[in-house]
Formats: sequence, C-alpha cells, structure tokens
Amino acid sequence: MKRIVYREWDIAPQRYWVLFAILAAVAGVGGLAALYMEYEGHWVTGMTNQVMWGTPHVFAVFLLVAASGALNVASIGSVFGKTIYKPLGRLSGLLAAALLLGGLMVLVLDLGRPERLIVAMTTYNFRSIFAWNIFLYNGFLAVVIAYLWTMAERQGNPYTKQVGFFAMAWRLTLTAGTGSVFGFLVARQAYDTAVLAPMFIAMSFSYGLAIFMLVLMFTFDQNDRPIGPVMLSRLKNLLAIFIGAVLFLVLIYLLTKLYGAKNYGLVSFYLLDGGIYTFVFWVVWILAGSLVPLGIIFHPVRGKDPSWIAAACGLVILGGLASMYVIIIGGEAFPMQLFPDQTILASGFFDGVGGVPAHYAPSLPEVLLGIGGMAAAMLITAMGVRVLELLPESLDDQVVDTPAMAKA
Amino acid sequence: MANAAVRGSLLSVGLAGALCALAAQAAGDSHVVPGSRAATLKHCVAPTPFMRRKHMELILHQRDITVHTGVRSTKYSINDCVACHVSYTAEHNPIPINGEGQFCDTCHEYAAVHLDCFECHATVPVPAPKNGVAGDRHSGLAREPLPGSVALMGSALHPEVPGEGKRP
Amino acid sequence: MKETSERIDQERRAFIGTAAGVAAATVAPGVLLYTVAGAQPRSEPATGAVRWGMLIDTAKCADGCTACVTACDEENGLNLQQKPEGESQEKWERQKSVWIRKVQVRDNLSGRISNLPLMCQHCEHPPCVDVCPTGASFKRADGIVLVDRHTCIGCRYCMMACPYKARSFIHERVEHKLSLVPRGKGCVESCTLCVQRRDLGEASTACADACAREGHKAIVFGDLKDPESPLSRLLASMPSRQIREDLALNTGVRYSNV
Repeated sequence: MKRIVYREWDIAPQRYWVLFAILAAVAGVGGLAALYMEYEGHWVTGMTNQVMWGTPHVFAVFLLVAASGALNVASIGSVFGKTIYKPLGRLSGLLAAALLLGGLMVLVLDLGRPERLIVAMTTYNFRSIFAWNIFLYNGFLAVVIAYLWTMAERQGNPYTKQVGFFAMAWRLTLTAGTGSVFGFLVARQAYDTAVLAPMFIAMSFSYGLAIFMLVLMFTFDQNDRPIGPVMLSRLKNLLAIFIGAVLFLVLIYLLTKLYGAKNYGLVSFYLLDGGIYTFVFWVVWILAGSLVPLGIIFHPVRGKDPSWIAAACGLVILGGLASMYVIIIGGEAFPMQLFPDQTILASGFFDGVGGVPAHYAPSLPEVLLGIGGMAAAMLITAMGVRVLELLPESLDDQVVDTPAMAKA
Repeated sequence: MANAAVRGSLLSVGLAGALCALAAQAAGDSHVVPGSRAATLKHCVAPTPFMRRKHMELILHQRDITVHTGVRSTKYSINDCVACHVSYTAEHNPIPINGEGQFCDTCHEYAAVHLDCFECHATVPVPAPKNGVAGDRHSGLAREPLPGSVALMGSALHPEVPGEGKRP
Repeated sequence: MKETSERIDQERRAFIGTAAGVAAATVAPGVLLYTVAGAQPRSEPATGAVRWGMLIDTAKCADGCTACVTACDEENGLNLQQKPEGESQEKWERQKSVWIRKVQVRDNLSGRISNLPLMCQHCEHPPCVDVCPTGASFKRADGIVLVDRHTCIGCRYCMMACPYKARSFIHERVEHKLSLVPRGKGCVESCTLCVQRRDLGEASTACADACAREGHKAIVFGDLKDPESPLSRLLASMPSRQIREDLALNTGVRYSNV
C-alpha cells in the first residue's frame, strides 16, 4: 500500500483570511440573530403555537444528520477495509465534528431559554429521546476526536478499526435517535412511524457525503491538489447509491401511510394539495435534489466532469434542506386529526379549520441563524484543515490505492 | 524580588480594602427599602445575615416543593417576600420590586447577579380579578401596609392557616 | 452532581431548621401576610388519593359562547397578554397563549354540529411528559399535568408531542403577571386545571364555574377517584369518551355527545 502524505491546507494567506473573515462574519450574524431572538422573544420569528419548530430546526437537523453521514467515508475506509477511502478518513472526521457543532449551535440558540443549557445538561428525563440525544451528540464529538487520533497519530493507528467500528455504531444510533425524535411522536400523522429512523440514516449518508465531496473538491481545487477520475468516480457512484436509498425509504414511508384510510389526507397533502409543501417535495426534494443529481452522476459525459459533480452535490444539499422542511414543517402544518370523519368549522386555536394547514413563513432571524450555523461548521473545517495535517497531498489515479493498483 | 514585594503589598492593601467594604456592608446598613412593610419589622423570616447569604437555598428548595407538591402555606413563599419588601410611591402604588434602587437591586447590582425570578413572578402583589362566584379571593393583597402590625393581626383573625409549628 | 447537592442540603436543612425555629419564635404572629380570605393554602403535598378530571357535555355547550375562555383568561392572567409593538395582529393571534379554546365540528356524514371547549386533557400517560428532556413537563400526584417553569428550557418538543395541540409557547416578554400564576418568556404552558385554586382549597375551575354561571353547566369538574363525586356519578350514568381514544392515554377530561 502506498504511503499517504498529508499536508496542511496551505493556500495563500490572503485568500485564507478572506475566506475566514467571510465565514466568521456570517456565523457572527447568525449569533446576533440568535441574541435578538432571545432578547425580544420568539415573536420576532415566524414560529407560532401551531408551527413551533421552524427554519432553525430545518438547518439544525440537517447539519446534525449530515454530521453523522460525513463520518461514513472514514468508516468505509477503516471498518470495511476499502483502502481507497483511507486518505479521506481524517477530513471525514473533522467534517463530522464541525457539522455537529454547527448543528448543535443552531439548535441550542433557538431554545426559548438558551441560558438554561446548564439545566438541560444536568437534569435529565430518560424517557425522552431528546435527553438521550444530548448524550449521543456530545459523546459523538468525543468519539470522533478519539477516531481522529487513531487515524492521525502513528501510535493510534493499530486501534483505528476498533474505534472506527465503535464510531460507526455510535453514529448509527445517533441518527436513528434523531429520526426517532419525530418517529416516536404519536400525536402527528406525518410522524409516528418507525421508518423515520432508517430514513434519517439513509439521508445522513447522502447529505453527509455530498457535503464531504464539496468540501474535498473545494479545498483540493483551491490548493492545486489533484483528484483523479478514479477517486471521483468512486465517490459519485457512492452518492448515487445513497440518493437511491433515500428515495426508496421515502417511497416505503408514503406507501405505508397510504395503506391507512386515515392517512389519505396526509399523503394527498404531501403529493397533491399541500401548496408550498407539495412544491418543495416534488420540485426541490425529489426532482432537483434527487433525480437531477442522479441524472448527472450517471450521464456518460457530465458524470466525469468535476464541475457537474460539484453541482450535483450542491443540488443534493439543497434537496436535503428541502426534505427537512417538508418533514418537519410540513408535518407540523398538516392539521391534527382530533375528530376523524368530522370537519372542524371553527376553532379558537387554529385547529385546521376546514382542513387548511397552519400558516408558516420563515423570518429573517431564523434564516440568518440557520445559515450562521452552516458557516460556523465551515469555519471550524477551514481552521482544522489549515492547521492540522488532514488533507492528503494528492488523490491522483497513480496515488490512490485501487484493487487494480494493488495487483500491478 | 522588589517586584514581588510591591505586588504582595498591593495585594494585601487591596484585600484589606475589600474586607473593609464588606464589613461596612454587613455592619449596619440595611437594604430594606423605606416605605415597605419590611421596614417596620425587626428582621425577615430568618435572621438577616442568614437571609443575605442563603436566601437562594430557601428559594430553590421551596420552589420545587410548591411546584411539584402544591404546598403553598409556607413562610418562604416568594409572594410573601414581594408583599413584604415592595415599597410604594407617594400615591400608594407599589413599585416593582426588581426596579432600580429597589430591594433586590440594592444587593444584586453590587453582586452582579442576574435576577431571573421576575421574568415570570409578579413584581408587585397582584390579586386575581373578581370571578363573581367566590368573590374577591385575594382582597388582602394590594393594600398598602397599615402602621404597626394591624394588617398582620388582620390576617391572623381569619381561619388559621397551618404554618410552621402552629397547627390549630 | 445530584448527590453533592443533596449532601449539602442535609447540613443546611438542619441549620435552616434551627434558624427558622428561632426566627419563628420571635416573628411568628401573623407573619403569613399572603393569606387569602377564607381559603386554606395547601400545607400537605398533593397525593394520588384524588385524581382531578372533567366531563364536558357537548350537547350543553352553546354555540358562540366563550365564557369558559374568558374566565380562564382572567383567572390565569392570559387577558394581560399584550401584542408586542410592531407585530401584526394576525401573527399575534397565532403566537399568543391560549389554554382553552372553543371548537365547532360537523360530522361529515350526518352534518350534525357539535361545540366543545378543548384544553389540556391531563392524560394518565402524557406524551408531553415522556418527551420533555429536562423533566419540566410532569404529572403531579393528583393527576394534573404541569410545566415546571424553573426547569423548562423552551425547546417546544412537548408542543410537538401533544396529541391535542394543547400547549402554548410564550413568545414575548411578559410585563404583567399574576402573583398566583407566574408566567414568562421562553417557557411552555397549558391548562393547569386551575392548580392555584386546587392548592388554595377551592372547589372548581374557572371554566367550570363560568359555564355554570352562564346556565349551561356543560363542564363538570371533580375527583375521578371518588365514586360519590358528582363527576363520577355523571360519568357512570352517561356514555362518554376521550378525544383520540385510540391513543389510550386515559385522559382526565372526558366528552359526551361528540
């Protein structure tokens, strides 16, 4: 096996610091937005008593789900022994930690009482999957750091496989836990299903890999490091498999819901008459976020062009945000079926009068907070690759370890 | 060497000064606001030095009891604290107890400890409105303090509320 | 962390006990300034010997009447809510706290119309209690489901989990609060079955009283565990059901004729 050389991301200082400043500014604005929301109260947001989890949660859950998936590349290298992915393991670990921190930042800053985070971290109700998630998320951070140590520190190399296996088990539990936040809720028809846990796991693979590929391609491109066609091809095909997995599980979800007469309204809401939610589902999530990237990936010409691959990754990310929007906000907006086979004519608390879904419009503070979290994650990544030896020198065809190379 | 000596003496002077300030604080001056019912009483539900240092323990302990078990017949009720320590304007309107220069502020501003209680708890004694069935259940509350302990005796005339050590 | 504070508490409790005893001896007469005329504040903890509940007869609930809502608003300080400056009225309606609301439904087949008030159902197996990460949402021994606002971090997960959409989040700074019903920005709240009245020894809830005052008597409040209470007798004598009974939450609030 060829020796892999890792080097810090040494683009010109001016360019690095400009990038740093931009990311820090965006993250800072997100922080200011959170401060504004906390000081004034959530009345400044679009969230209401009907749609109580809004745009910040869309971004936060997306980042948390992607964080777990970003570690996938390292797992494939360490646990499943696909040595071609080994050079990518360190970046994978850093990105997982960075995305997790970004997601947690958004989630915590959106709390009604963020100053009570200490209470949240010391007082637990262990019937709540939320409480378990606090352990899972923080533990994940520790596991990733340990994993990075085994990969980057020579003394740690013998333990990579075991720690990698542990990390993989942890992140699958974490993502299942995130999906179960919704899946355990009997109250809402859009949730209350076990399939959300594996669906979130599949989504984590897809979105995490897409973000990983974009970060990889950007950092390599800026630093004039090559990514050979073989590596690129492996990554894009892997992404295609994950996109397919998500589509498959969404299909199972919808079919299962459709089997129950009580859910006709729900499926129709998602697929036909849900207004903005139907549009986002079909056009942004399924079409732009899944089918178009698949088309690009399997295209004989475009599928070999790095720019088109990057575009496909970007579309998958967009589709990921859209999927969170549809699942989280759509699930809240759909009227709760308090009286099956009866129509609500009037209500003093917006109970879906006449079957109309709850109104929600994202507000500026929410969007700024969400984007700020993504910027914070990218900031941590930029700092990490700049200072630490995490990026392989080259992913050229001659350098990467394919079965063909091993035979030669 | 000389540096260390200078630093050491500066430190001791500073400490001494701080201690003097604290002593002066504790020694005589009261933080009770004139015009409040508390100004007419010798001390609080516990001796003043105890209250100054340990009122948070009382509050934290009592709030769990009240919220989780519903026990409200306690002298550590935050509403009682407010009712006793709130002061009044010339027109006998109560001034919010967490206002600048009011009772809580006089210590908390110095100690730089943020007061969270009154985000939720009422800062003046507030009765619930008449509901027409049980009558005005809280008629005693918004009244200004009467001289001496007449108002206190008034409450004692009602069917006795079991307090600490005073079971009927 | 819990053990440390419990250890400290023991020592302090002993100290507090002595200090309190001495203080009580000197300050005792009439120290209880906050006594309420005629009512007895609870001095023993609430127990499971009672379980508070309600029966709502929707046939008696009048179309267009909102006496229960008004009474609840007055009792719990919800009528003191103020729209923040700069917010549209429409958005305020969607963000302000509502503990009880009137709902009118029509049967899709028969066209029969029912009116009913809907509030926290005080389930025996509350989903909101299951999902709260800090345990702020809890069920008291006597069956009332409450939010401990000292521990609530405002995550709104309980609002997602409630099958009756009964909870409200306080979106704005609360300027005017009642002494007996503290409420503030950033926490979640819902119907408390007038727990302040429970703890002050009063007989019924504001909504039940208001409905009776209006002459409808659609809401009957009482002790579900006492077979002789008017509520239990009524439940035994007429068919009633839980809303969303398929969830098997064993709610404390029951409905008939819907």
